[in-house]
Amino acid sequence: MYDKPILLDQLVSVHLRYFPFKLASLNRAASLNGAASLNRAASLNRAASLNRVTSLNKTAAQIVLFAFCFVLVSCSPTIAPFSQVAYEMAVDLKVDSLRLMDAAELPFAASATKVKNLQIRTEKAFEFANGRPKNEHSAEQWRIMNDEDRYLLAGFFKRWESESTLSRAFIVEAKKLVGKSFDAIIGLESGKIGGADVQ
Amino acid sequence: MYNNTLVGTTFIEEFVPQFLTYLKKTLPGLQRSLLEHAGNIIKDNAANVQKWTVQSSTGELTVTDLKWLIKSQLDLSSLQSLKEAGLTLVKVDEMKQAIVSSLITTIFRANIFK
Repeated sequence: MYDKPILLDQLVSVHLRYFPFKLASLNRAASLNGAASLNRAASLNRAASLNRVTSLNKTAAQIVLFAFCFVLVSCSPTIAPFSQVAYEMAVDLKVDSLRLMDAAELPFAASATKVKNLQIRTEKAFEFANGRPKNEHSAEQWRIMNDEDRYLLAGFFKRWESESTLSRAFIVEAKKLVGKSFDAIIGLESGKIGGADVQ
Repeated sequence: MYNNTLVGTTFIEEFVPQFLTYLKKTLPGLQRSLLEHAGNIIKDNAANVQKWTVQSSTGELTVTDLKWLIKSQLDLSSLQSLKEAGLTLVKVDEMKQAIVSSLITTIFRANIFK
């Protein structure tokens, strides 16, 4: 029973509460009755108690070592784990964004509502990434993607709005770059711990 | 009697080679993937710029288009670098878990709990 490390807390409390009482009662009985056998029993109990204390100290060291390992593994991940929601958001947005970019040969006004709705969804994706702890890399990716002053999805929509229509050759090339940008976001998410199933 | 020195020595003798084997197995792969990534970015950038320059000279792309695409390529490189940096952190986490796992195995093998 005393050899099981998992019961350390219980054992310590039992040891502290039970043994002093037992020794005291045995000593009291020995002095009252003058029986040598009881004194011997008390002495044996004391020796056993010391052995158990040594054993408990060893067990405590083992527990501390396990606790250290546990803390190292579970409490200090360097980057957020995989999120199915973030992954699905990115995949959906990639498909919808590339499809909408295809319409840039036509005047922006015809697709203004669709663009606005898509931008709201990409902003939600950024906020989701930004709100997750230790997820700075993904959040920064979404920030660049959503920045109108940069040259990815939001930058493409800004240019489309300002010029009304864009050339087919430009759309094709811009789509390749925006598609690869989404791949970078999706690739990071699926590469996180727990994302092996979607790779 | 519990012999701390003997157990400690056995523990170090077992753990260190395991840890070194793990590093030898992991680090070259990590280094190779980072170098490949850097090489791919440079190759992609060069190939794209060359293609766009030709398209610009034939009038398919305007100068404004060309400038926009080159800047877009740079932003894409930023996103890809963020991805690689993030995946490196994932590998660091995996390495940490492997070290602890190896540590625990070695502790049991070294009979520290006896």
